[in-house]
Amino acid sequence: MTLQDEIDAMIAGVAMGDRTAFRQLYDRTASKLFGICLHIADDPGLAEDALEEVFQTVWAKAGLYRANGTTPMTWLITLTRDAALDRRQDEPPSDEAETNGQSAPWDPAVRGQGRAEAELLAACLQELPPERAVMLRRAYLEGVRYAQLADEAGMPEIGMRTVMRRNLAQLRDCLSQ
Amino acid sequence: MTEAPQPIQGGAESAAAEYVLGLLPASERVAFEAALSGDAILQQDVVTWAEYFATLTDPIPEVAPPPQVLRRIEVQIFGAKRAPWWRQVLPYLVGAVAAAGIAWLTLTSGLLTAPASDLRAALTAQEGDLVLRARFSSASSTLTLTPEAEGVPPDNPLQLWLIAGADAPPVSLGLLPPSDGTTLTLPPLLAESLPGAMLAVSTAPDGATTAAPVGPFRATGQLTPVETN
Repeated sequence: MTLQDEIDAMIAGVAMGDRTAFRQLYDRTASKLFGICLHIADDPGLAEDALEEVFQTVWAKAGLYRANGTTPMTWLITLTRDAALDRRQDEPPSDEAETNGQSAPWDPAVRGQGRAEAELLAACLQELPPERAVMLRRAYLEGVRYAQLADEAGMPEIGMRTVMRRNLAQLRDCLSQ
Repeated sequence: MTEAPQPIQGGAESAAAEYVLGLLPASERVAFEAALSGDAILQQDVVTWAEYFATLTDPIPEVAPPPQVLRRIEVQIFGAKRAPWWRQVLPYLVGAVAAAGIAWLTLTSGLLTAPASDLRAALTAQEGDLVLRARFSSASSTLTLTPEAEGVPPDNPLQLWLIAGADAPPVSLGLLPPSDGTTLTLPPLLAESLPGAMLAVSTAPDGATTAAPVGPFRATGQLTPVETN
């Protein structure tokens, strides 16, 4: 049984109101998800709030996640990202760019089957202009929008969107190969 | 700040990525979600992008949350009291996926009274001529839906929803294929929440069920007891 299957089974248990399964799911995933909360919300109290919301949602909606079509870990990560972004305070953009261009080790331990996707995405992001790859990461992990990206780059918003869409199409071609 | 009305580059594929990244402007987001509901390929695109972009969290180091977080979560979702008996036996009574909706529904609606009588509802459209007659037989625990007037357009399957109360999210009861009538057998716990509930139908994109209604409800109607003589 892969890790994804295990998490899948735990979510199925949670869907049936199984508290033991809920505790197992928490034990297995909370550190990963809390790390994401801290990274995105950038405040321990807000990160705790976000994590609480995530697991309340998991308890209430575990039976519905399959309709969403994603793997269980992606479902959890997406819930976490949204909850944490909702709480993230807007910060001056200058603090952000430095910390996000850095490369960190790819360690998709909890994601299990996501390793191939992580490596492929990383490889395809390398084919984009480096600053665009950073922007894309910041959109996902910091919730920045075109207006801010355009502002920072000193170009019109529509121009920023045009190049970003071109890069996304390029990324899609690379990922589809 | 207005955006170009036409897709600039990459068409729907780029829009799916923008959607997942949260880059799609709010005005386009609504239109995108409407298009998404009827487009299985686009749905798959969104799922695929979500899978890829979720890997952007891989390098983020794990941090164990403080122990009080789990305590607070458990108090919030389980409450201070023991679980009601039905919550404990529920896993043994009903199938896994269906159980989630039912357990939750029963929990929030607080309904555990058996439907004493048969029920019926007329589901009528806000506009247009879609009318469905619903009839619930308590003896057989079956809900039968029959289209009236023009009936359900043949290429347009519908998804049936149960709305147990004002604050209750819709619970899917299943698909209504375009036919003369459909009979659904309801599990006991779901049947018990029918009295006084609303039935509603939404368009089912590509004939597939969705977790939440797509678009506005096509028709709604309240279940009321059938007068027995």
